[in-house]
Amino acid sequence: MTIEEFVDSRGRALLRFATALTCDPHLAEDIVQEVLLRAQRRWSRIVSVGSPDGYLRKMVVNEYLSLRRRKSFGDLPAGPDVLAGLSPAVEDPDYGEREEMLSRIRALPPKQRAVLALRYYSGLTDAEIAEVLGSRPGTVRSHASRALAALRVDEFAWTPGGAR
Amino acid sequence: MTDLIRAVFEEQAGRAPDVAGLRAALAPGRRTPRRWAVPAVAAAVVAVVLGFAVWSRPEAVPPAGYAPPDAPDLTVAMEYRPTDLPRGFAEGHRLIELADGHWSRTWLNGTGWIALGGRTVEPSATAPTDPATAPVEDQQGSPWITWRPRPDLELGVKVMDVPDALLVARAAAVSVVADPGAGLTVPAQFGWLPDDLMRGTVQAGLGVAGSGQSPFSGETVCVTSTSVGVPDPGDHPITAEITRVSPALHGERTEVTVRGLPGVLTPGVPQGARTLTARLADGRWLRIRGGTADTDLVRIADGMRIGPDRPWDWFGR
Repeated sequence: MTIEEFVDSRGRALLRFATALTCDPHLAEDIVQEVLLRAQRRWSRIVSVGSPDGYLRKMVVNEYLSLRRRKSFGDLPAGPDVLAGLSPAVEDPDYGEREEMLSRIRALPPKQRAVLALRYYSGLTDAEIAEVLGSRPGTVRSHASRALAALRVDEFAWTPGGAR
Repeated sequence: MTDLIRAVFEEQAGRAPDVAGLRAALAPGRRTPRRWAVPAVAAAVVAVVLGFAVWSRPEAVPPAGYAPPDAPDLTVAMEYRPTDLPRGFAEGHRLIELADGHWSRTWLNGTGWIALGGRTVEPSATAPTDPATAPVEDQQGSPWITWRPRPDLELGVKVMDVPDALLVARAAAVSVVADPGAGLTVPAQFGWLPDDLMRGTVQAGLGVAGSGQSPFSGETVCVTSTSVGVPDPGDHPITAEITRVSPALHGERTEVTVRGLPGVLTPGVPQGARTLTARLADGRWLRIRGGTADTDLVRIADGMRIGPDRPWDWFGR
């Protein structure tokens, strides 16, 4: 399988995962693009050890965590027409609940968010997540536990000046 | 709750861009330029959404000569900082409460935070003056130490989600030194507001807290309003956020013109609130939320004074 064939068949899934992880389709595209360009240089080695899906997913997670550590102001603003490209209007009575949860997920520390995305979006076990993150299953469980606790707690009600 | 988490991730995944861009980027010699900001987070890698102002006691008084900032380039001094923090903490958030001028600076490490706040108070002869011996209060499980380096100035240190929090809080408090020149240059400010509202807080940093609604991750400027005559400091009927992170829009849209640019009004959270989203000319997003009329939201947006998108020299240090 060439990397182009991979992109055609699996690129969409990788982009979806990256978007779920980052909650930002533009950042996700940047990350996946960066990952693919790096993977392209050693593609033969990547495919020689098996399915590239897991390997590239791991690269995406690492790139995301790495970006969150780097300082960068390299933005190139797009035009206001971007609004027109956002998702179409839909009737959705539950959007408020999801919006609230999305806010909380976005507020999580990056590793906690990555653990949740790998667990609840990708369906990985804690052992598999540990392999992706290069940590121990116990650490993954700890991240997950803290993340879930943070999502449960109504910290958003703790507004400036409101809670001392 | 896990079903809701899955639904959120699925919904986000559904926003994924088309794969064609990736295919093009892999072509020899082709590389699509980055179009968007990667949020600058330096060593502080967490988008903490917590309250950073630590006081609501009634004795807070505005500093002598203090007046709410009326221009985005006004700087409010925050001239103290701790010098003894655990490894890995970097400053990621600053806040000003416009009503009384109190401020806070917060250092983050990815999981926890340490905040230093200051406010002008009525002079007291009995308040603790030495952070080494000042009593520790428990604030929702977090240690909070306050003392007065001057009779009319109270400083406070609060620590959350940090191992050995009490020791860390004491060490941080004892290490506080003067930091001449430090402050927050007000990056944005409300202009017109409905008669029953006034300016509340100005915040800059990671995942700044707003009205308890939907904060962004990444670096965000957030200004809030508060209700006239309502002494609840957590009351923020209108919140405006300016960020480089693109928002998700939900619900039925109404197109409007905001600051001469296209914007949309969508249903907000909580029920009945409205959200106005627009792309500023410099590429950042402006999002204003509140339970007010659509025409008022547009007027608020049009009246906002928004400073340039420039790096904060204190951020990540």
